[in-house]
Amino acid sequence: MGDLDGMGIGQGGLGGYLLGLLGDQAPSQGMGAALLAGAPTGGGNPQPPPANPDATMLKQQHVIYGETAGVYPQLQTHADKVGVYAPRNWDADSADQLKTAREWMAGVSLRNPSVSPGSANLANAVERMVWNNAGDAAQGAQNLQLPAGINHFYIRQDGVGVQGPGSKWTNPKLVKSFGPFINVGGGSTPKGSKTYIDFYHADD
Amino acid sequence: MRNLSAFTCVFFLGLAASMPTMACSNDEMAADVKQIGIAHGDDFDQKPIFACFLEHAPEAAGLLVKELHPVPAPTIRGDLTAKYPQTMHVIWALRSLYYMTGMIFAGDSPEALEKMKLDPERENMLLHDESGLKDHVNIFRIWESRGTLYIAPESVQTEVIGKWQAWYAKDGASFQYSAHEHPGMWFEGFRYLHPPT
Repeated sequence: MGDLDGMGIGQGGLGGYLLGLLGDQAPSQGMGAALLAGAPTGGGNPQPPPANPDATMLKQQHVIYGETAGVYPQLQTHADKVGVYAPRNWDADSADQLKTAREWMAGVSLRNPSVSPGSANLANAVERMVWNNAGDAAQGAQNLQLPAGINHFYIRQDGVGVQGPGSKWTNPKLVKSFGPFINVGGGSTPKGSKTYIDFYHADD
Repeated sequence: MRNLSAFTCVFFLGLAASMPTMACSNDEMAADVKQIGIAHGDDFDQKPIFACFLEHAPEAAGLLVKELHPVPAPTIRGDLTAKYPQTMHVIWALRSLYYMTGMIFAGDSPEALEKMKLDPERENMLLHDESGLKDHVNIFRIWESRGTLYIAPESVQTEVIGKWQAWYAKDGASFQYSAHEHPGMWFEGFRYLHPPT
């Protein structure tokens, strides 16, 4: 895995989030003031059409990238030594599943904005590829009918480390699990080939 | 007189029923303030403690503010919070204040944070909220899909603690405290800009 580390690929935090993307939602208070906190949009309600579909889709692309830049499909048995970084090595069903999981993630981000966007270094071929995959999933999410109530997701390495939200979500219920995928690192989820993306409904 | 006595009795019973019952004493509240987050990391039921704090709101908020102090700033995995009792105590004091006030104070210098060359994930979490504008620095944040806690460097903590102290000195006694239930805000430290829907 040392070679993979050396490529500098990780989840989230690869550069800053797109500055000014949501300029119309900028806080009106001074930076020194506290922000009054409200609740995000409820999980079970249909989403109104976004005011600016292009900006929404770009934001979703950043979210997908930030959350899953280090997650790859399973490999075919005859994968060459380039491994996960070559789409020709990807198992087609696993790649489809990962794309669907990313679309769901984009949908969740409209219901629960507590997500971690990231930006790619487009000069890096691998990051550019993952960024484009994130864009495909964001595009796919525009026609998504995300099942009602799903408002959280959690990424775990099966059998290693934390296996689910131990936090204070109210009555979290696992609705759907995608995987296994390969996590090459980053994002606090342990590396490995049994990475799952779990989608939850919680009452909060 | 018998009728009057019966009326009086009913009157006082009704009055007693309408008076708020204090589920916890002032001493219990003060003890909770001293202990919150220390023994079990995140693995405890905060609801009765938060309810107690709200019952004694101005005093509890003042005591919670006094508990704030800069702590070592690690990144803490969700299942390891109990290993950092002093850090988690301060995090839970902040969470309690978030819950009671619905407010989150933040640092003003994202540029300074960026110059610190932190781990990129930590920097991203500390600078990001719903706005995506990177115009402030969170004192802590949970990455929801991982359960990992990221804490700001000491300089940011000192700045934010100073804001809580200034706020309490000016508004703490008269503030209208109430429950702000959404864990994305009080537990994860995520600043929602949108009003509740």
